[in-house]
Amino acid sequence: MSDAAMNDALEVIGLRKRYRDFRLDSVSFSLPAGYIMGFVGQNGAGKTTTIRCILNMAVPDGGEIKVFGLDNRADELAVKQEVAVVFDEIFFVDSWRASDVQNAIQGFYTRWDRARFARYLSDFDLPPDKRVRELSRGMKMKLMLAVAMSHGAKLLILDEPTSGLDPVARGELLDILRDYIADGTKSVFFSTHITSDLERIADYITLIDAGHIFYTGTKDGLLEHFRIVKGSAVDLTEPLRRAIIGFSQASTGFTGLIRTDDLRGAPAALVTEAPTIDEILIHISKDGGRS
Amino acid sequence: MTTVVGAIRLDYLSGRSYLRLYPLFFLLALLVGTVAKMPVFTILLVVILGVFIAGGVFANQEKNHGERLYGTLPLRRRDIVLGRYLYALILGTIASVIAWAFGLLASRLAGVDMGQLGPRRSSLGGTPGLNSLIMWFAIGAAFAYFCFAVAIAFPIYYQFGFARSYMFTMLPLYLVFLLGVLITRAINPGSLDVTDTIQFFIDHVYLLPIIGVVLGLLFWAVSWTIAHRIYVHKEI
Ligand SMILES: Nc1ncnc2c1ncn2[C@@H]1O[C@H](COP(=O)(O)OP(=O)(O)OP(=O)(O)O)[C@@H](O)[C@H]1O
Ligand SMILES: [Mg+2]
Repeated sequence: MSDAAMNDALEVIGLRKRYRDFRLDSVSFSLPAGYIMGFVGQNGAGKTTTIRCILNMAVPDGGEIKVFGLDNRADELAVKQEVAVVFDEIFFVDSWRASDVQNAIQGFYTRWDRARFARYLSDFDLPPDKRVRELSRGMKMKLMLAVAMSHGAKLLILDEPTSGLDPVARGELLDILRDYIADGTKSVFFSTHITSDLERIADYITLIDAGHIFYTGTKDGLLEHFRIVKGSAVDLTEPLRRAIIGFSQASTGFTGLIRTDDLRGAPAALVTEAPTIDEILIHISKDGGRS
Repeated sequence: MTTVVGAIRLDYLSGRSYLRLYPLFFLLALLVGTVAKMPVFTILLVVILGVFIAGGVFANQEKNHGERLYGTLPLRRRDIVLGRYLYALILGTIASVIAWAFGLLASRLAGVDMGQLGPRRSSLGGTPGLNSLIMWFAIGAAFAYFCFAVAIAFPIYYQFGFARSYMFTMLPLYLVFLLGVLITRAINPGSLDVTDTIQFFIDHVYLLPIIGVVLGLLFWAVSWTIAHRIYVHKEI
């Protein structure tokens, strides 16, 4: 095992998975321990499928997945001791109360911490006597987080944890995640299509589009890697046209997204500006998965 | 806690709120057998209820995204399936004991023999030891039926999901009836002299529950192997 692998909380290498009308195509990325990675892409891009492969809920057609250097299937039990998961839908029995959830689950984890769970319940203002089905969406999310963070997991995987939450609850959740990784040993991998969440807390970003990884790396790198480019029709050369992602043209001129590297040698008259993550997403989705 | 025990416990805990409803139905089964003066009815009903309780684990799991819960816990697929089958076995044992006890109770309350099949005295009545024969036959058959029903239903639930296949819960019952009718037609019991056989079992009455249990466990084991094959590669 290389040092790099040891220092990665999560490493996905060449993951392939095929459904009738969809294909994860050699998905690769890695999340260094101690950081937060946002996993973005539009609906149906393959985020949940990737997460299900990581959790051995779906069986990949090829590729490798490592969690702290351990194979996610061969070492499934060890891996799942280290991983906590939050899905967009709560998966606890609807008649359970918070104490029932703890009672049912704690025995599976070697490092379950009752005191910590109790503290999260009170920090999150979760009513202990309410049944799961009686909780609001935000409360359900917080209950899942409380469980996820109480068994000493070093990698938190969240599938669209912020969807359906109001801005205040979303902000709270992001703060909770930031606190969770504060000691430097824990990592978070979360999928979202709310890009403002990423701008707030992600250190790394993996952009997936129609089953292809479009970008993976640091958030700052992403924003430096790409520029929004605008120009008038006379400046549009053929190589430039080919380099532009999500190209659109109007009578006043053209606009699109371009890799910073592809700007070298471009006409000086072009106007470029830094994109937002949203703009990057929109442009790559216009091109229908070309990367 | 080993993971299999954990899986059994989780199956129990996730359906616990429904289990509270069942005593009422068990009492109803007692009442039916008593009023009809057919304790065998009580036994049959209790065991069928037992099969429903076992299937309820799947219903409940589907309703609550349980496959995701089980999928995120440190549990292997094979432990999940084995746990489910062991839990069913526990339920089957409990249901068989209740079936036997309530059958006995119904026969006492109604003042009829365990084996009586109607308000009038059964034609077999009077043979010494026949009561205990029928009692032990009933408990053996109850357990075997429970396992048979679970053995057919569980792999179907694993393959197709409960919501799409819950009607198969009744399939084993139809199969047993069908088999019974076919066998009766084929061998024409009226012409058969079974006195020796009955006497043999009266003398070795302990064999009946043993046969029932062995047969049941056989169904159970075959079904478990099939379900394991299905679930190990299933997408959840
Ligand atoms: N079990 C399955 N069988 C067939 N196709 C599937 C299955 N699961 C997912 N897919 C397909 O895979 C594609 C990716 O789905 P996935 O759920 O991974 O997207 P996503 O990025 O999570 O989208 P969203 O943002 O809407 O949650 C979709 O086209 C979906 O129809
Ligand atoms: Mg999804």
